[in-house]
This record gives sequence, C-alpha cells and structure tokens, in this order.
Amino acid sequence: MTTVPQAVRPLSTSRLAAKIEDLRKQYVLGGEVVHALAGISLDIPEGDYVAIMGPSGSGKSTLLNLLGCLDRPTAGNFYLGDENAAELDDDELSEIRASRIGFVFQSYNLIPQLTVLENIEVPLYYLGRLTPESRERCRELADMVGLGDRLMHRPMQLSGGQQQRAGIARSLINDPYFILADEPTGNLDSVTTGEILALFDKLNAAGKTIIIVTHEEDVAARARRIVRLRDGIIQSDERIDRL
Amino acid sequence: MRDRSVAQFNLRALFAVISWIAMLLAIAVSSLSAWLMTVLGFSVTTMNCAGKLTALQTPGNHRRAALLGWLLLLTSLALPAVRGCGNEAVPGYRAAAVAVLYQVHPPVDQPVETWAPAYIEFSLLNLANLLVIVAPLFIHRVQRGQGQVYRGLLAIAASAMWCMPLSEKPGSLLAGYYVWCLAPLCLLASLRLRWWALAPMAALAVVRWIWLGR
Repeated sequence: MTTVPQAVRPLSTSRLAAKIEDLRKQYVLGGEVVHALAGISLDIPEGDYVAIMGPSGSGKSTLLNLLGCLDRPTAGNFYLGDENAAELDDDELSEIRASRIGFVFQSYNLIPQLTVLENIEVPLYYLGRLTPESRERCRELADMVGLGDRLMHRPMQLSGGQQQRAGIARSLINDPYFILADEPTGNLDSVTTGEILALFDKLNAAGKTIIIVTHEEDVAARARRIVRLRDGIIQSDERIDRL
Repeated sequence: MRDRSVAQFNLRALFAVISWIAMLLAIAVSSLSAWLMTVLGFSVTTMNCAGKLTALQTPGNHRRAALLGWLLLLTSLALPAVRGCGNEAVPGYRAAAVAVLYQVHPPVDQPVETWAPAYIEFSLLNLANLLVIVAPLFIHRVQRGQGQVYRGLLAIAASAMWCMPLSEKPGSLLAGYYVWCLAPLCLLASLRLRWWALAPMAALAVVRWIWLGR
C-alpha cells in the first residue's frame, strides 16, 4: 500500500470527537518552569485515526494524559463533545474518563480472576451501570475483536495479542468518544502487532475515532493522520491518503 | 516500670510505624517482589501460631488493634489501590465496590465453574472487610478465650488478600492495597491463633496459585 502525506484537512464529518485550543502545560522542576506543552491546537473529527509521535521530552505523554483526562492543563481548552474538560473538577474528570474515553495500554490491566467476558464488563462495574443488556453487548464486542470463542477464558489462558484484544473490547463498552491507545503494540511480536493494527483499521472503518501514541513509524503509518510533536508544540500534522 | 511491656504501644506511635511499614512495603513490592505481602502475612501468622506474639496479645491491645484495623481500612478506602482500565489509580472504595458488586450480581447466566472461583475470592475479600469492621463486637469473646471461629475466618479471608499480588503484574497494586492488607494483619497479630488456622490459609494460597496458572 502506498501512502501519500498531504496537508491536513478535516474529514467529511462536521462533528468533532475532541477539540484542543492552545493547550498548555507547565511543570515546575527544581525551581525551573518546564513548558511540557507550549500551546497546541488540534481538531479531531469523529471517525479520524490519529497517530501522535515525537521524541522523548516532546510532550507526547503530557498530551496523552490531557487527552485521557488524567491531568488538567495549565491553560487552554479541551472539548470532549460539548464539555470543556479543562474546566472540570476531579470527580467530573473521573466520570468522563470512565464513561467517555476508551483506553488501550501496553499493559492490558485485565483482572486475572475474571473471564474475558467479565473483564470487558469491568468499566460498567466501576460506573455501577450493570444491566442485563450489557452482557449481550460484551459478547458482541468480544465477537468483534475475535474473542468470541474465548469468552470463558481468564487472562492467564490468553496470548498477549488476545489479552490486548480483550483490552480493546473493554475500551469500547461505553461507546467512547474515542479510543486512546498508548503504545498498544509495545509488548507484542510483529505478527501480533499486525493483527492488533488490523483490528484498529477495522474499528476505524466502522466509524470509531482512534488516537494512538507511538514511537514506531510502521504503527503510525497505519493511521489516517500523523501529528508530530517537538519541544511541546506541533511540528507537523499530515493526513495520509492510502492509494 | 518493668511490667510496662513493649506491647503497650502508644496508639499514635503504632499507627505511624505501621503506616511507614505500609509505605515501605508498597515501594519495595512495586519494584522488587510480588511475594513480599504474602510472605509478611504468612510469617506474622506463623509467628502468632507459634506463640511468639503473646506479648502483643493483651486485652488493651485487642481494643487498640480493632481501632487500628478500622483506621487502616478507612485509610485504604481513600488511597489509590489498583490500576484501572485506563491505567489510572483507582481509589480503594471503588475497588471495594467492584468486589461487592460482583458478589451481589454474579454472572449466573454463565457456567458456574467459570465464575465460582472468582466469586469465592471476592467473597473472602468482602468477608475480610466485614470481619475487620465488626472486630469490636468479638473482642469480649476473644478476651474470654473464645472467638476461635472469628479468628480462623479472619485468618483465611486475610490470606486471600495477601495472596493477590501473586497474580497481579508488578506495579498494578498501589499503596491503598498494602494499607488494606495491614488492617487484618494488625488485628490478627493481637489475637492468639491456633496452628490449625494455617492449614486452610496455605490450602487457599496453593489452590489460588493453581487456579490462576502461576
């Protein structure tokens, strides 16, 4: 597949999964102010597939924490739907994080005592939103990620790739604004990495918005758009058209 | 005064010491070995069964330990206890709520063999919390040399807590978990245990080890 970088242009959809306006984050380290993010603006339309790249110290992790509502910016706005996450208190951020963002991490964070089906359901336990229909939804998600025949297995009985699939299914249970994936293939071999990336392609083709933070060029190349950070600002923002 | 034994700790000092130990354990376990909490719990219980903690097991310390157990349990509910789905720190009260919810709403539509082990484990964790909470009610029985069932159940339920790191990835259990583990530990240290209590604790640890495939 040939890819051609182009200047960024929005997807056909007019709705945004996330909108960032002049986002800044400062830390004070040893009495010195460090500008981890020095003013970032980014529109992420629904259905987009964005790879965020950058060298160590570029602000990648800080942006990930802000996008994941794990931290609050020093200045700027971050809209999730109609809400400005930059203005929410800790409890509200926690609620948004649990209900509107799907996380996929290098470490899968599955509960070892629970089956695949129950692990997919865990976010609903945290939110106290268990319903009879939720179990059926978990089955559908497990089927979608190719774990339909592993529903009763525990994490220990699964390969790394299968555990990551379970993590991806779990991230979708709340129908999030977007999936935020942090080095999701970091623990996987090349074959399994290909399978997980194919799954992301499939989810994106189905309309899911995906934001993936990676340092691997071949992982980023699967995205529709690559945002490169350097020294806390956006160095480039390219959309990839697959021919 | 010679009778003023080392067992008669000042409560504040005891709390400070145990909090420090909890923090050190959290640091050590997150970077060293998942076995540490298990080893500590079983070591203290074995010493207890061997009568090495009798100096601590005075009527006054029963009450202090019950109070300390409450304090540690309450503290653990407020502290980050585990890593959640988004790698965020989940406070103890939310983790405890998940265990309670699982017990209240077990997935009964699934084959029983798939969920019963987790159900038993979560039930034991909930039981440990309950036994720490109701400890003051049993103190008077313990002081009359009774309450063996209470002590035995507490020991078994506590061992389920202490064995959790064996199946978790390093770093996924946070400070709240270790403070939580210390609640039944300090309570058990103040209660004389019989040797028989160790058998079901060890059996539980072995079964859990086999069940979770490590």
